[in-house]
Amino acid sequence: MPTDHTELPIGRALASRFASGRLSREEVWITTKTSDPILSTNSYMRNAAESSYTGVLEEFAGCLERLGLEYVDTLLLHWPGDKDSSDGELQTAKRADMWRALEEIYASGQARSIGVSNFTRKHLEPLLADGGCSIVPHLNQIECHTRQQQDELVAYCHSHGIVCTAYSPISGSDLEEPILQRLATAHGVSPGDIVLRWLKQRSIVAIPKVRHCGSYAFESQFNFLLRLFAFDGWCGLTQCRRAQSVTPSRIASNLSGADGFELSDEEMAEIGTIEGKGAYAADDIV
Amino acid sequence: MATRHDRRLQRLSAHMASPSASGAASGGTGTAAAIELANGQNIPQVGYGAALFGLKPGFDFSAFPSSDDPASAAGDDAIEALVGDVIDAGYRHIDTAHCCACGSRLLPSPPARVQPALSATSRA
Repeated sequence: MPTDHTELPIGRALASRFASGRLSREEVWITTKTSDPILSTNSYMRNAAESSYTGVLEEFAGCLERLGLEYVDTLLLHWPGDKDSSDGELQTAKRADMWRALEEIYASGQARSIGVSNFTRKHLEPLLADGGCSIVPHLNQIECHTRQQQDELVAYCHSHGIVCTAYSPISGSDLEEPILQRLATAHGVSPGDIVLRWLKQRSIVAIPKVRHCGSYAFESQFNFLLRLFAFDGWCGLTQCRRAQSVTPSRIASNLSGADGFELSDEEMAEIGTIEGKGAYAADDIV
Repeated sequence: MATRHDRRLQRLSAHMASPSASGAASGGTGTAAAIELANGQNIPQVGYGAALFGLKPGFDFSAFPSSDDPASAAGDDAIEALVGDVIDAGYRHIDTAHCCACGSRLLPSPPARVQPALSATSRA
């Protein structure tokens, strides 16, 4: 039963590179997740009668199978719980059980690091309390960009030795924002480079997400499909302008764009003044 | 005869060889800087989020009448090609980055209608 849309094709891409000798397993870091409550297969996150511990172990076995790997480099719990649940006690217990499963996976060597995703401080505190966990999460992957800067959560994670990963770092940022535009001009880089550099100087991992509707798509053999999607209105023009991670130059620049220059303390502080977009979705999960 | 895919990779390789792309290189000789985790592992600071599609609940599958789930099939091929490209470009950190919006075949049932554009920050 498939639980994810990307693991199979990623596994195929990896297998072809491994087979050709262009890449070894040790050279590439693979991160995947279990426990997305939106998946109908993950009823263990909602149903008190089901074991979340067993559910995670079974789901992760599928992850490895789809990826065609013997281990992943990072395994994350995707969400701290079901946003439709108001049973805080159940959700807290579920999180503890799911984390126990990740600890077992880590001990088995099937994940070289383990972490959480979309966990806020209130979700982390019980885990980090005495007796809450045997292994402190290595990572917390969160929405983080110039409009959702997450200063307090990042500081809290860092105080516990938890590295943060930013998802939607570029697409979430408003690259038309005058501060980013001005800093980009001053440093001779793109606004996206400024965002990635800003994250790097905060010791935050960044995973610019591929979007479907940028130049890459239109250069690809699937352009007919993607044009159809765009035409059908599921991707607005504004979103397309933010699709900065899909052109060849952007793919390359994302790796290197944050290098070769440094933001001063004043510039970092200036980015800190960019207006936020409001509450973090994970705050709603009890 | 070079395909469009080949030409794109050639442009990408040329860009990677330029001084402005000194932090990475094609052929896997360069990677992003790494951040050390508490257990001593080093995670590359920049990874590639591989969620290609943003299909939302409400996606109109009737646009693809020839298959129950052609969007997923085409999406798989596109993701495979894209991930292969970024590996060749020097990425050494791939995040499956799946999200509520990208697993079209996971939706309980083919829904009725396309939703508007993705929000500025879709779920990772």
